[in-house]
Amino acid sequence: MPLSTSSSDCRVPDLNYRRQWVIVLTLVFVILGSMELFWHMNGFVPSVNDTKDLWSYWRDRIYTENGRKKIVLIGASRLQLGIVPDVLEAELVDYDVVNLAVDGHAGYATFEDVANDPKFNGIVIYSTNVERFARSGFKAQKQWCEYYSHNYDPTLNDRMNFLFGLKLQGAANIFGANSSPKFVADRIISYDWPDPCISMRSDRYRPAFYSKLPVDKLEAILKSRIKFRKDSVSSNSVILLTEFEDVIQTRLTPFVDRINERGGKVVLLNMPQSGEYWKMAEDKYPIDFWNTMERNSDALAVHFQKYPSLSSFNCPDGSHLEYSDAVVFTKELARIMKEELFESKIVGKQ
Amino acid sequence: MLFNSYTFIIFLAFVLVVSRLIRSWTWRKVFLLGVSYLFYAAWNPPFVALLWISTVADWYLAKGISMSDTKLRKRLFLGLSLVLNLGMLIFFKYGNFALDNFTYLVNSLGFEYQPAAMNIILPVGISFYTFQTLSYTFDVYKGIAKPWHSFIDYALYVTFFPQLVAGPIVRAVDFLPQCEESKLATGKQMGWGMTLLVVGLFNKMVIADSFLSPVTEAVFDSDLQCGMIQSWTGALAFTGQIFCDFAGYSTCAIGIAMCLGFVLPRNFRFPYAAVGFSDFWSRWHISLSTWLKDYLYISMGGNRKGKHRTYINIMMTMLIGGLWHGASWLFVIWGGLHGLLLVSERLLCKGPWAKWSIWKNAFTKFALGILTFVCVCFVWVFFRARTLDRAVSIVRSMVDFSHISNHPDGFILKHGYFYVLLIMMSMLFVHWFIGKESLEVVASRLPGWLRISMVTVMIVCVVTSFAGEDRAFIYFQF
Repeated sequence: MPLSTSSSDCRVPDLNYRRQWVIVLTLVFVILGSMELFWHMNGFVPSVNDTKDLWSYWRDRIYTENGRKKIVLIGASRLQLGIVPDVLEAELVDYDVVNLAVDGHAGYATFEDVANDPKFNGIVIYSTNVERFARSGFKAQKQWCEYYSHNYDPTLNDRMNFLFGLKLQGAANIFGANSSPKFVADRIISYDWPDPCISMRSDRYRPAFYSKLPVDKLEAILKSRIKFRKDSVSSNSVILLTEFEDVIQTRLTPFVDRINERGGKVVLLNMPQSGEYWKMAEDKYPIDFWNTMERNSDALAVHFQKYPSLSSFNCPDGSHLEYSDAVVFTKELARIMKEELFESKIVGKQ
Repeated sequence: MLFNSYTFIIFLAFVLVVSRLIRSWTWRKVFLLGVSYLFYAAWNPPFVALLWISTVADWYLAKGISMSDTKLRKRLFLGLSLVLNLGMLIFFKYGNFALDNFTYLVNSLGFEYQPAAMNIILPVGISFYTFQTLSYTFDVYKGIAKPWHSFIDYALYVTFFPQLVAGPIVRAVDFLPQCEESKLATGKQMGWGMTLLVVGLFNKMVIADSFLSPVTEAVFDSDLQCGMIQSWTGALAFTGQIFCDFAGYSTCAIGIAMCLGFVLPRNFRFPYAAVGFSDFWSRWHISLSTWLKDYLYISMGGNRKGKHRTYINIMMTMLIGGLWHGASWLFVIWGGLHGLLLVSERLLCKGPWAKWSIWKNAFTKFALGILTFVCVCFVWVFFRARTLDRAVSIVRSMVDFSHISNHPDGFILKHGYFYVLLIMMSMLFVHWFIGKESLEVVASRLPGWLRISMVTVMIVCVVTSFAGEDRAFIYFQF
């Protein structure tokens, strides 16, 4: 039979490949090493890429395993930065923590999803506040939930690949999102370098080290966040207390009940905010709103302002905790949970 | 297992090392066959059974064709091969589609009918390996090839992992003779094969996935009305993405095969430098277009049965070629549009103006090449859009001069316009100005420092791109 493709010899350029590959591999090693050194010297630590696969990997692990129940963290960035999973596990030794918080997206859709999951019977710590229920935004995390239920069906190979990638991303900056060519190109064009203050761990916890930022940069961040908050506060209409109660009874109460009926528990958590940033929220929705939420749900409601031990945290950017504060906050929250959730100080509200 | 995954890198390293340690050629082929099944099973192990069925059945059916002394018996065996392979393909790939269309038809006639969902899972690569085994029985039927003497060789031809799931669709006459003599990749083959693997991964992971895919998704997966600039940006982004994605896969496959001492046929030849649509199809997905030409177009009579029949044959071939890509009417439309372009070109070439010397002018050729490229961009819209409405909306916007840019802010992701423009200009430059030569010739002419720098940059970009979202090769769904 004839070989119509062409012989192998004419398809291979006659080059000195040994020399080429020795030089190439040396250069690759030097360049990648230099990049790693550059990130390291600028205060960056290895950070994993927060993908829907990573979220789904943890979503798959919310069920009781070998008798160990799970504490599921649901919310947005305040929770993702503010509760340290390993600290919480150390305090509540009978539980494993699963972090499903998503940066920049309110957690209601995930809360609904977990409440509707008949196999879940653990504890949900749901970071929310009055504004979350007063505004629309209930679908913010829906795409994560839909990805998990419709697209997430990893094979053994997918799992191996995923875990291997996670290990590498957690080991060196060059394997993280900050080093990808697109990210670097974007930053060069816009002349806007990333800040080293927030990284992401494979358990989806994001330790924040605002102390790594120069004071003027931190002030600028705070200023722009306050301006953004002002704009959004003035553009959103205020909901009446009676309307708010209706929303809570429809949107929150039945889902809390569903979790409780399966033997689970819910903690509604209002994460610390501080300064002008908090004042704007407080002015718009006084504590009566939170009390309404508390009264209408059979959950432990923890508002940072109502617990002296939680009320004195200073959030460097107005609404997120520094890592060292997050550790203290987590321990304090665990203590409250031990006292009020496990020692049955909380009873079903009528 | 995706070429752009960590597990594949480990898998490939294992295969390359162990295959060099095995001295016996027969055992080396058995090893390659075994790891090819492992490679396929990484997606869905039970579907390996389909590969076995196709392999074993066509092995015996080809023998049956060869041993038959009458035309009728030969046709019977060929028919069995067609029924088996196309039956599998139709069931797994078009089962849901056929049922949906049947339900729609029945409902539109006024009858209430709602069948239970079939939920058929599409075995990855089924379109590729069924066409590959069919080419073997066709060739034996036509007398181009004789049944091969070694089952191991034949099974390896069907299953060889570099080309198993997304081509190139290799012919038996090209692959099986390579199994005759013991071979190990030479140092040069290994060196060039690895270079091709890096080039392919760079195309896929960096150009297609990192830079172009986000822009394509922003335009095609949105419901927002685009202006002319946004529509063109999206269409151009997909034009570049599909090339870098698919040509990237083929380049990886050719490179990996070369590292194992095998030569696979070229699948792309700088298609965006095509002048005319028949030229485009001689450069794009060459292994499929030649398959369709040899086994479908020519079998239907090709251009031997008169002018009108030729046009019908072209249209049929392109419509079936479109449907081969997926169970959706949009693929049929895409194939149909290409068919219309080919027929129009053929009609135009018959006119008296075809003999004018102006067509040989370099500038005219360039202008015709750009016109070809623009038409191809338009037609890609139907290939990528999720619904016909969206495709029509984008095509309309591409020619709507009254709405140059009418999108909400942030519709096209940050710097997307710049990246698409830069990449597509570079791509057209490469296709036009160095596309007359093969990649091998271009590589051997480049100064050493430049070649080394390019490969180094590509590897660094590939290594640092692994953190992105997992994106399968587009052609895996076909």
